[in-house]
Amino acid sequence: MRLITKVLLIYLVVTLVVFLIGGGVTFSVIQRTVNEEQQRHLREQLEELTTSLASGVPASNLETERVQITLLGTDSVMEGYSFSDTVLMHPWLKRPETFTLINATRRVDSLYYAFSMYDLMIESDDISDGVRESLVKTYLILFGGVLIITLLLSTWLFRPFNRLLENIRGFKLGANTPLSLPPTQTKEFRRLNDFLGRMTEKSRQDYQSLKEFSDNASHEMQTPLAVARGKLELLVNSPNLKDGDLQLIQSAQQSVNTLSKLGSSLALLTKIGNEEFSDIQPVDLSAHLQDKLFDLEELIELKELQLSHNITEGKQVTLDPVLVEVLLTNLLQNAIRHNVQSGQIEVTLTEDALTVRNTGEAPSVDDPQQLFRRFKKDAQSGASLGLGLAIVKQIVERQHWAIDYTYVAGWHTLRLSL
Amino acid sequence: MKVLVVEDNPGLLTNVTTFLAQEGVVCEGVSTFEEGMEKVYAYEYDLLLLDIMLPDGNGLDLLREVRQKQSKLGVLVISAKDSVEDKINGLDLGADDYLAKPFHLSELNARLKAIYRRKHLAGNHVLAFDLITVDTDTREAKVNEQLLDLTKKEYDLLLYLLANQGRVLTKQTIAEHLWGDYMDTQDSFDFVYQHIKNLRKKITQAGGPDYITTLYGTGYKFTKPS
Repeated sequence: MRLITKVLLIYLVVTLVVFLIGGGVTFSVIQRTVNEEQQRHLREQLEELTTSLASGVPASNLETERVQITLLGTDSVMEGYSFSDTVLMHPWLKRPETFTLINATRRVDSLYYAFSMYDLMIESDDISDGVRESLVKTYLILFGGVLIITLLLSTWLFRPFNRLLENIRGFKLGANTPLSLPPTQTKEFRRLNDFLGRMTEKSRQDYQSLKEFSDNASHEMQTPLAVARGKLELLVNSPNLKDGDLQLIQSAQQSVNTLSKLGSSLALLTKIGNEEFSDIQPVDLSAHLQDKLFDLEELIELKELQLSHNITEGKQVTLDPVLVEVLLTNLLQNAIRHNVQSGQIEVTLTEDALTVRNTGEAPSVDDPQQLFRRFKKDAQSGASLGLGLAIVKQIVERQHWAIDYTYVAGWHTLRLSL
Repeated sequence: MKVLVVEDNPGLLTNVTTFLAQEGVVCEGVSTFEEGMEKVYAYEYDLLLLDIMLPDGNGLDLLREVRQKQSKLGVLVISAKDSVEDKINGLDLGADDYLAKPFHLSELNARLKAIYRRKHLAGNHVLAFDLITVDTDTREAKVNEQLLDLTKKEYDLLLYLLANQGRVLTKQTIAEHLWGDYMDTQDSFDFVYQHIKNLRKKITQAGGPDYITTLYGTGYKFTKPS
């Protein structure tokens, strides 16, 4: 939900509550005023009747349907009046209606009279109907007005914000341009600009130094390894080698080799993470897969594995070709490496998925997701670095693809949804 | 064969020059861009081994200069940056081959010899060793004029052994030459063994002597039997 919609909704709910309470208040104020007014009117009529009686008009002349005057006599009676509500048949409407009744005792000259007078009362129903109608109409006008103003304002007020969002979306850490910040007079947005500006600048610097570091690390690491490797080779040809020395040299060579692969794999992971493979173009995945299978054919034969494949022709993906190469190599190598003697490999490429299946021992980890983590490897695969699937995962995430792994009945299945 | 090595790392420079000297190659080593430039202008070399990252300049600039002066000079670029860019730039600027650090000296040797053959022994693409002849153009190997039926890998292995004749090669070195990074170490040793066995059999069946000596069960040496 948009922020402005939220504000609007909250505002409308609050005004609704205010209107409800306000309705109650208005209702009671109007009712009180009307009552007072009616009672005053009846009292004035009472005064007029008293005056008329005093001036000698006979009581019978003054009596009407709504006015009754009773002579009480000369005995002293307490003067006063009281109001009450009563329900009577309305003369024209022919239905019971509520009336206000005044009962009063007055002395005119030396005689005491009882007055009983009533008048049609304005019912609370009528008042509340009126109040409700006017409030509902006002509320609707308010609603409409607020809606229109909000919509207009939101486009205008949020323009710098929306533009900033656009810019952030287009922002790339690897690119050499800083985040462009749209100018704004709004304090909040200025603070946001400020903050984002500083943050992205810092990230860009960190990214640059990280990039330099990974470049340097790979360089600095490979050179001493190259030296070590060379020394070992020179040592191999030394004439004074004893029995067993060659074994020692070879296992040292193996370690140098592992270390070197480790360095380049980690550098690769960093590079993918840093989005350094940006030569994005349409790539014929089918053709690349065919080529890769051809390259690995010998290896598959040497390990006495059976390969079957079903590849849809002409499947295109948009990706840096280097990454396609890395992805396929890792997936297929994985299937070869974690296989069993005389095992099988099945490769299927359809329009929406690449599936690599291979026979193999059950994985020793319970959670398949673990296999995608760095250096998380199966106990039985001592030779592997444990980075292959982490690299695959990194590429998959970069592409917003999905990969899942299952192990059923002796088959490992890696399914890559393209 | 006369080689100039431009490499700033002293350890690596010593390795390469020692190794090449053992191979009977006349070899000079310098460690800066400046020195490399002077040498290239002052003397004639057959091959140039060039590191891209030098303390006082980029090896690729040196390569550019060299290419304008001497077209016959074979250039092998080495770099620790295993980046495609460096490789492509290097080859575009006229390098004959590219090798990423860390490399095996025997691999370097094989590459240098291949460049030398292409550049300086033009037309002569036949390698001969004792009874063996290898035509690098048609990729055919013969023993006693009898054609060997070799697989691609066996041919590569033979060429590699020939380039490094008389040297001890461990299974590790051979495996990396044949399969690069594709292969797991443990597996590869068995496969190297199999390939060596097959190659040996094919050569002896064609009437050749057993050129391949096995050393301590883990290394091989290609020599003319005494």
